[in-house]
Amino acid sequence: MAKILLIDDDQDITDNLSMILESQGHAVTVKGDTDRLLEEVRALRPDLIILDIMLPEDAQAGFKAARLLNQDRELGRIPVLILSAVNQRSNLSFGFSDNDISPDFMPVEAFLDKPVEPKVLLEKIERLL
Amino acid sequence: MPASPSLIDPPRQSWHARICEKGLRTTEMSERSWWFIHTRWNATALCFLGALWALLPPVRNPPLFMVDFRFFLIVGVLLAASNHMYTRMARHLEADPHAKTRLCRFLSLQVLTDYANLSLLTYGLGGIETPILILFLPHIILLTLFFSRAYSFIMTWVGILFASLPILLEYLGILPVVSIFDATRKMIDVTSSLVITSSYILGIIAAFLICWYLVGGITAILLLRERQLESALQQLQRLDREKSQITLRATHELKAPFAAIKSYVYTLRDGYCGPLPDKARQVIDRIGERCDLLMEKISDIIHLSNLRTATPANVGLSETDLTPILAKEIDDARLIGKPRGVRILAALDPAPCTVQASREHLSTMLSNLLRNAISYSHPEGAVEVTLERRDHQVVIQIRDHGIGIPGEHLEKIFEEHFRSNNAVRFNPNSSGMGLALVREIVRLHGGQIRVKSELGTGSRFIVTLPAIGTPS
Repeated sequence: MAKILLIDDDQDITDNLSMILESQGHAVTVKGDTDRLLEEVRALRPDLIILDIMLPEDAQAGFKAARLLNQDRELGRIPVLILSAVNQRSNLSFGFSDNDISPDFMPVEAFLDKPVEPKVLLEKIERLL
Repeated sequence: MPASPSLIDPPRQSWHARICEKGLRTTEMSERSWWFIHTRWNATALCFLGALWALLPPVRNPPLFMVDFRFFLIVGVLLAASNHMYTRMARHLEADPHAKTRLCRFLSLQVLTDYANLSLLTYGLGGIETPILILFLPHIILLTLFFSRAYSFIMTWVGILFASLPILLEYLGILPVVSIFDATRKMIDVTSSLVITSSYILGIIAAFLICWYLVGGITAILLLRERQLESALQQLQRLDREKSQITLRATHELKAPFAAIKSYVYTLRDGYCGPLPDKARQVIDRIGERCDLLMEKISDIIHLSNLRTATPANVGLSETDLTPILAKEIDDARLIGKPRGVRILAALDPAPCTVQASREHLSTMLSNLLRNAISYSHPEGAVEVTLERRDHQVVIQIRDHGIGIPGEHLEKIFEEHFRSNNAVRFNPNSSGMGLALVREIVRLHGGQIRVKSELGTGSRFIVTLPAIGTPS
């Protein structure tokens, strides 16, 4: 099964997602911010990264982290899934969706709204791995 | 130790650069470069026509005017030659429209050659005998509008010099006196009187300086207003960015706890914490439903607050064909209506119904109207949707045969949180925000919304939006 790095500052979300992912045999590592991201990802070598957009350090920390990873020749190959409550229906001026995925703006493989149905999340992960 | 680059003095500028470039409104001037050239081509054509007219036999005998065609011809040729050169220079400048020094020199050169040509024409047309001197004034006005006060002042004096030169040189006897009248009807012989000559030159000085002073004063006020507007705009843009950041943060802070609760609901419901008894499952489902409703309300409140401060400029409207958006929303609405057997009958105009719009906002508006119609329809009812292009408008009508709206509440239904009693009884779970959102979106798109309804019979919502293009 896969090694998954889960970056989110909400402990309820990380506990919950860990429970779901571990029930499927995945190994989950939780990180609450994007500090020393590249070093930690390089050390862990995850098969997938699940990333929140708004983190304590910055309202767009998730985007910045995704761009940073994407610029790295080695780490850029790791699939990234953004899981965020800031979605299209919440606020149209600041809404994000799958349509916003682009190499310059949101260089990730998938985008899911938070909360997500476990079935939908697991299907998406299976597709990305 | 070498000085750091930031401490090195900037290169010394020439006096011309210091005075001329300061305050030069580069963008405006670049945009108008071609306008000056085109105007000069027209003046060239007029000079050649003037030469032709001077060559024609006089209509009256003795003739009223006697103009030497050579003056028109020489000025016409000079104008054509200089304008040809300016055309080439303007093309070079187009490649770099913000090259301030080159633009400054280019414009100054144009003004100086125009002054020289006008001076020659003034002399050829009898100096003070013709009103051709007035043509100096547009140059002074344009200089004052686009250059700094100091530079336009200097160039106004240069204009005064060029305008007075023919009169002065005639008075001093350096140039022979040219008159367009014959000797017997000559108006003023400038060579005969110092008083006339000097008063005429003083008149030119006064007229030119008054023109410079008045236009300069108005330009200064306009520039001040422009700077104030620019500063206000920057402040508004900064506030708008701050507001968006606060809204984003508030959205996140409000939604995050519900997202966590909902995630736990999913985990329990789907058995990740072991099997649940049926009763517990029902309770979990109801927690989930209430959570969804609360999240939807929060989203609607934030969305409405954003729409209230939105303008067409900051939303980013673009040409959008309404038909596919409405078709998609109808498909989605059919799924929502299916459990209660509510059908949707659509008649959409095959012609493109293009409007200036935000796709997302239009989807939200149509989705709210359709959901509303379904929610207040009786089971097995029908909702009729039409889209048509009428002259310069696109008209969407959504009609249901449901519970209807009491007449006294028709004006209030677009207010946020307002719900009529019969609506609350029929559909207790609605947030009462949907129609307020719809009204704001219609306003943002420059449209109108009307409602016709009869209690117990149903309601018809009519949205009109300004269409783009001509109807086919």
